[in-house]
Amino acid sequence: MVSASLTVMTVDPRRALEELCGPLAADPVADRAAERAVRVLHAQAAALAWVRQTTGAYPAPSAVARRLAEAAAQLRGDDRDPVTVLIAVAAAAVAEHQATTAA
Amino acid sequence: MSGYVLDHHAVIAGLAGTGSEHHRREISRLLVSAIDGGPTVAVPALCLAVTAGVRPAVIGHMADLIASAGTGVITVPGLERTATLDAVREVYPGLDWPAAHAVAVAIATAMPLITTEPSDYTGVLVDVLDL
Repeated sequence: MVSASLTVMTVDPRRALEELCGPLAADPVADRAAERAVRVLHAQAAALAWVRQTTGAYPAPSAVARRLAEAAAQLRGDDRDPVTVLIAVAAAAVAEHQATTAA
Repeated sequence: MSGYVLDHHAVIAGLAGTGSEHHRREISRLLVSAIDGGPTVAVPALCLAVTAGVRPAVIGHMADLIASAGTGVITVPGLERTATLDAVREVYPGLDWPAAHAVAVAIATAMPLITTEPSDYTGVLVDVLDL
């Protein structure tokens, strides 16, 4: 009788990630910029989700999405809290959009 | 569960070595965030296939990452004929297959699509984020 064994290789996800993406940490300044960019991206996604929950619209109306994209681009270069800023931008843009479409 | 869909432009820029160093770092941090319990990341199979044409090793590395991360954290949705895919092909005939696949996944999951070429999706009814 021949017995077979199955070997399952367990790889650390961060090691797999480094194989895929290269070094995760190297240049502190560039790392900070990338971390900030991702934080802003998460906040922009949260703002779009807020628009969807508030208005029932998917995707976000183009005027609202444009305002969020403009604000997000600015946020990559400053230190303001991106969630607070982008939710406020979304609320103002939605109100403006609703006023325009109701007129 | 929140998450993102990466199109072929974003994946190539971030993982195939053709984009900027910033793109590479941003994609790697998106994946770290997913592994750490943040928003999930979906890479449509056609977008990964296009990337593998530029950097073949990406297939094995991505498979290792998916197999070692938590269930559903990072996924490679397959292409299948659905009403959404049919509608995307009919309404947006100008989209190539990788883009159409990414849009179909984004619509089906209501997740934003991340790309380095947002103008490619002008007029397409998905939430688009610029990498």
